[in-house]
Amino acid sequence: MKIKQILKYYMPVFLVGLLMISVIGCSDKLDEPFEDESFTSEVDYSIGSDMIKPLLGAYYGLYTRGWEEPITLGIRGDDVNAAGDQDNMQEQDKFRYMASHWNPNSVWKLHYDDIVNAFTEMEEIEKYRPAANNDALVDQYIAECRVIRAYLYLNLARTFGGCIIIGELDDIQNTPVSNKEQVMQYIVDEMSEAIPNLPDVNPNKRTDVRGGVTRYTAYAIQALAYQEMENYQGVADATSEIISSGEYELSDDYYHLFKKAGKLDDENILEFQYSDFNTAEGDHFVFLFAPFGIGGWTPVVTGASGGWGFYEPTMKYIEFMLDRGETVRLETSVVFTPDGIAQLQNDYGTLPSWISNTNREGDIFNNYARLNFGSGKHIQPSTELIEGRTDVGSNKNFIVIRYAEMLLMYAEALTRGAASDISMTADDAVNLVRARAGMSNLSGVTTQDVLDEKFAELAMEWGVRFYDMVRTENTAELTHEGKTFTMDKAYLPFPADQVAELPQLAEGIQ
Amino acid sequence: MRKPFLIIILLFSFATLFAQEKVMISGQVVDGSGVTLPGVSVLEKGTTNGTVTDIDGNYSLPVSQGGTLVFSYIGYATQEIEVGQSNRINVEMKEDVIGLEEVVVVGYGGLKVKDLTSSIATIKAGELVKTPAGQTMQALQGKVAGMQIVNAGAPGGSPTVRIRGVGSFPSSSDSEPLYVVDGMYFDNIDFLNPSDIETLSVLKDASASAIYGVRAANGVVLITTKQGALNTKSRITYEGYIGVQVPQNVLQMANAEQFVNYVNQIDQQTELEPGEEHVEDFYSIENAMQRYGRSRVNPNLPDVNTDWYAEIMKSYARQQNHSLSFFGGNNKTTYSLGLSYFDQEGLLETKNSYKRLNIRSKIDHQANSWLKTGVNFNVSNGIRYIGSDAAWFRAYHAVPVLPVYDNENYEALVAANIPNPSNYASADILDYRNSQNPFLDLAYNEERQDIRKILSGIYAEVELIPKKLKFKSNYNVSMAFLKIRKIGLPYFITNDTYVDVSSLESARETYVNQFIDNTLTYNDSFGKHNLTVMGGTSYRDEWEDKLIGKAKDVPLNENAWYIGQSGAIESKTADDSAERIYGLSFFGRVSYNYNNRYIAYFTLRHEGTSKYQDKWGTFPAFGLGWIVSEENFFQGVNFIDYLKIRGGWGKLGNDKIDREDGANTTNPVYLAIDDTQVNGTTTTSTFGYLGWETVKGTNIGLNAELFDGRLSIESDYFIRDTENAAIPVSLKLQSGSVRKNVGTIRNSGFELAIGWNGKITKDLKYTVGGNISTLKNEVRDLYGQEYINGGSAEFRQLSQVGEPLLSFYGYEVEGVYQNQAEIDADPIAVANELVPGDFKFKNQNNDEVLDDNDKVFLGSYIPTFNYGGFLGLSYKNFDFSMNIMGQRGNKILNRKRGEIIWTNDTNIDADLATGLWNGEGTSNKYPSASGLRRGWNQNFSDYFIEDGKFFRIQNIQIAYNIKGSKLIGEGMPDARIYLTAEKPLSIFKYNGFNPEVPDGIDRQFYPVPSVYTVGLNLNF
Repeated sequence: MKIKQILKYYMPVFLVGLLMISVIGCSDKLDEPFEDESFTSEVDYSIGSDMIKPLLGAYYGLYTRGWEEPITLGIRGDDVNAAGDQDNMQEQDKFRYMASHWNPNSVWKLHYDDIVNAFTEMEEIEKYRPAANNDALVDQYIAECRVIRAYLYLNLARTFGGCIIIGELDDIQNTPVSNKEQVMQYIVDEMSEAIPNLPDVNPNKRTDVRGGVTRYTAYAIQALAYQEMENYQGVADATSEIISSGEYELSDDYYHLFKKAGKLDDENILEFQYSDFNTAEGDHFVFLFAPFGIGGWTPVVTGASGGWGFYEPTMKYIEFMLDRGETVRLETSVVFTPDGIAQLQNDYGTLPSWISNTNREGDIFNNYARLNFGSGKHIQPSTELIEGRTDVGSNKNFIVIRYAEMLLMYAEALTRGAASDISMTADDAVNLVRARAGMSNLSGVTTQDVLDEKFAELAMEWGVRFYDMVRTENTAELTHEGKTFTMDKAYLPFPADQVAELPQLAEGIQ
Repeated sequence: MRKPFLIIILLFSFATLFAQEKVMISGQVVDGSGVTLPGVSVLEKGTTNGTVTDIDGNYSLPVSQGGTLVFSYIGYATQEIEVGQSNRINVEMKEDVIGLEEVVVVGYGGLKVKDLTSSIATIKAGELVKTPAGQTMQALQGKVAGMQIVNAGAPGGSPTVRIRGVGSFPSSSDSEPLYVVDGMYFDNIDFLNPSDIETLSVLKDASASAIYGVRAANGVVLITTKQGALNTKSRITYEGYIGVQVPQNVLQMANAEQFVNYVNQIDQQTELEPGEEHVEDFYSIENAMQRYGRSRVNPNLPDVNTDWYAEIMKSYARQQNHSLSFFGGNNKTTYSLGLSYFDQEGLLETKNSYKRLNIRSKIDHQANSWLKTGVNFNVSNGIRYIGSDAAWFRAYHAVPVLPVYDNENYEALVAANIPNPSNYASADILDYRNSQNPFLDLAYNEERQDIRKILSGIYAEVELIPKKLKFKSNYNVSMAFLKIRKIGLPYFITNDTYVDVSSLESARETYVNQFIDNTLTYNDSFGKHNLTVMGGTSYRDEWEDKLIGKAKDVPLNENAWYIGQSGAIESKTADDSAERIYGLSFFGRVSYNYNNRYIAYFTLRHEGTSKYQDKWGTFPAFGLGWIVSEENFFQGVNFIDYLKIRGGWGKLGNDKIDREDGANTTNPVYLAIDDTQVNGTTTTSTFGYLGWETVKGTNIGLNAELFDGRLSIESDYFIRDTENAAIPVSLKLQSGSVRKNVGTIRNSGFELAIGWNGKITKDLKYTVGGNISTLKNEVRDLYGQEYINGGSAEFRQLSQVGEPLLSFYGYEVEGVYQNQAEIDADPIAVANELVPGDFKFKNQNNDEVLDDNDKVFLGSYIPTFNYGGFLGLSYKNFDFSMNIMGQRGNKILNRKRGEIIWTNDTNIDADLATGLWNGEGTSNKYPSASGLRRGWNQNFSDYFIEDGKFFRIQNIQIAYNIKGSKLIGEGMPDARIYLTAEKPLSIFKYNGFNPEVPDGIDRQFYPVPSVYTVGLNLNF
């Protein structure tokens, strides 16, 4: 055959073959890793100092809370009205629950997100154990995650009357529902195991994670769980550990405890930390306080945002405080509008002269269709904003558990007959709290006195009042201002979306 | 293996070497009405020997004895005539109505129409350009049975296209078909000018599209851009139009009088708290009267009556398109070059427009006896300004007692030396909660997109055995470069309505997709057996890379809108993201035809992708056809010219679904510890694992031509099952979801298209036809989940077995409580403290309470019935055409009315304002004015759901054709002058601009305007 012919007939075939083969050779491309991803399998666990990263990830989970959470947990008490246009919340405030309401579902899911996050972070921390070369620190970090997890379970069980305690992440489908008693016992046990591994200091004395979980955070959560179980000896024991540690002290300025000055105060046992990092722009890490805010204010700092007005102190609470002659605690807890003041004058009579619609810092609270009163513990004066920031409550921390609550829980336990190893009496504990509020000493305090004191001291904070009234089955107090409470309304129903996913929830709490 | 193969090649190639004697053939070519046709290509089949007809339609060509002449001309059916005894062959060219012999592109090759076994609709260039639209697919609305097109009104916006329903879970994958433009895959063809397209075919059923494997689950739209033909005279064509867009069906909002009336009703109906005399809104009206004066006509109204829709919309907006093409070819090379320009102004009173310049070229060259190569190149350069959609939303809600401008306020701001004073009015001046004025969105925001796209491809086609075995290798690359710039400008109106510094967002997106396709095609006939076998490989590399930067406080002049110009260093942020996916496929097709009666078709594709954890999938398809009319027993049936019964089945994959990680990831987070920013990590606890979502489609259908081709019928019934549908599965207990292959979705329906053409007199011809299609969408299985939530908590949509995807779910309104007696008689009304004027929801289970158990499915956004029709008339040089279309069976969530849940001090539409309950017997449809604000009436119910059915005259065109040479003389171009009215009339009941809402939720949509154009086509 001539060269020409060979070229003519072989060349095409050769070219074709070459092309076909080249394409088949590309098949390994199918196993290329995805772009723009960091797979856990690529993490280098040999850098021991990185062990703090998953721990901070657990705190990240704890601190990133939905705006609806404190509202949902808080509105059912006789200290708070749901205001604004959230029909679901208005209904819940009236003790009308529906499984399809979005906000309890959201609270449920976010809690479990962070519970699961605590699980995975504990696993990640454990992977650093060999490199960290410090077993005590590994154990401490894991214990911190367990405390975070316990706090979340505590909320769930108090809100829904029970929940699923996750044993294995991949076996949720078969995990039965635990009732409230069981969840509280689980929390008590978890805390007992965590406590020895935790630092015995005030959170603000920690150097690695300042303001993080310490031994006393665990005791506080344990005490709260005992209280829900009405195990008052347990409450007394756990709270006296906190009291006798000497690490905690009531802030002497109740008003500023809830302002910037109160960040990481000696009184705070658990506190969600937020910050603008002292910069006018760029990254910041904040909670959305807007639902607490009050639209139509005239802030000292022009441009400071108002807010949505979803959370309103009740007339009942204000009048209760006026009756007691409270000053600083009422001033701190309630922001007054002109309409609110008029309504009070109408309903209550003459008001103390200090009551005005201007706060200490000079912000003026004008009339606002959604509410007549604002929650002062949550409304940050505009003057506290870092210059350049305008969001409601930007840079503000959110206090969760305070020493004052522990003192009062201790006092209540004693009034209910619990014994204590420490010298502090119920009177002492209550009077510590009262003195700070400028109230005179009581002697021979009763359980009712303590509960009243808690109402005055802890109003608007995380539903503490509602839990107290449910625990004491005080339907009369919760039946207020046209809303009727019965004990079958103590817990929100499991969210419909959750029931659809997990049949064991449909069976309810056993 | 290779040796015998080569021998075969050599054997075949010698067979063609016999020399043949030539004869001179001549003749004349005319069209159907006897007019001579110049420029018709005349080619000896299988050779490069050819010519074109002259000005009088005459040709002459030396042809081999026994050869065949091929006559072809754009717009006419190609004819093949064997050279017989006569030396003269006269030809009458027939206008092309998709002839049976015509080859349609079916993916990696072509098939003759008569050999098709599946449902393929082909739209010709002439039909596409009838619609004055920047987006090609808009021209198909109502024209293809089983295809739903939902227009986008904004300039440069792409319409939503669905072929045979919604097969994938909407949040996992869109239902857009695959677009294949000259062999290259696209998800969107916004870069194409409709006048650059020669043909467009829609592969509707799975047996046809399976050859495209993973991309084709939602059907395929095949597009061939214009190309030249061998041995044709060079031609220059111009197509262009100019026109105006006019808003249509503008929603009537409550005017000042109706609005004040509405507020007064609220005021009277609301139980006030002690110490209050009126509701807040009452005082806002008083404020408006105080500030802007009282109306002289009615002193109880303010002297302001703003029609916000009229304010934010222009009364008309320009649109034009110009396209210039050159094409032709000699005996070895064909070429096609084009330049086109599209320019559309938006209806919004702000910068919103779309301009696009396209350049394209396509050259094919027969290099030698065995090698053919070609290259094409398309460049598209567009600039799009996007007006803020929020303006539409605000215009609905803004109160009519607010003027556009408030100069009193402006002068006060200027006097007080406030920076960036604005003369727009803000509703908070009147004590409304928000600023409301839609001009704040329009005047102080701008979004500009610079869109540059390039599509280029090169191929080589090697003839291994002449006429029989062909190898083709294609390399295609498409690139897209986007620059997106969004700017927000500062202004100050009141303490609550201001933006203190400018903000800039600037993004760059790069997309580079590369495809290498190789195919080997064998074609042969043995007696009555005709066989085509094709096998091939395809390699894909798809890469995208995005970078976005943001900054605040950039200078206000446009040339300084760069991040580097920012005066606030801290505000600068940057982020990027990338994705790169590889794919590899092996595929083959066998199509067989026995005696032109029995057709069989089989394809197989083995597909690999890096996108899913399951790398490989195999997708077979087959089709069978029987041309009944060719059978002997059928020869007596005279009125049926052609009848084909066909059926097919195919399976394919959908790889439009975003990947899942397939493994845990550890991601950086930051938080605040002691006012210091610290970094942590979170690790996912669960991850999605995806395999192939597959579609199995079954299609049976028939094609028939009756009465000498005057009646054509095409009908299909299909079932399209999406199996292993990637559906977001909620995480147990947690928020969020991961996608898993856990659902089955069925779309089924019937399609019928009928066309009739006839002649009344020699000069008066007509065509008339229509198409209908039904669609049933149903979730068949969710693998254990009871339902999947969609929509939002306030406006719930559920996907539940037995129902269409994402059906609206809520209460059914039974009526309105008319009086206290009705309230007292109903325990539900008593328990919920209702008042007359509140909705009475249907208590489905007849218990004592209204709860979640009383919620029912309220309909779906997917239409169940679509129809279209056309009428064409031609009389001498005039022609007229009209298209109509419509749909039924879909529901729309009037989300605009739903906004009152969150913000209630706003305007409402006139239908609602005038239809509200206001005393016994006034309405059983709408609640009272104050009731609109109560949570009870805001429960999701069919009050918010409206019927989306509509009828529309889609397009009317009247044209006059001039045969230039005849009328004016030689050298003059043929011309066509036409007037078009696009969407001149729409009829519907829905309370919105347009019942075309892609996902059924109407919150803020750009209305689709009517377009009136005058156009000119020239053909030199």
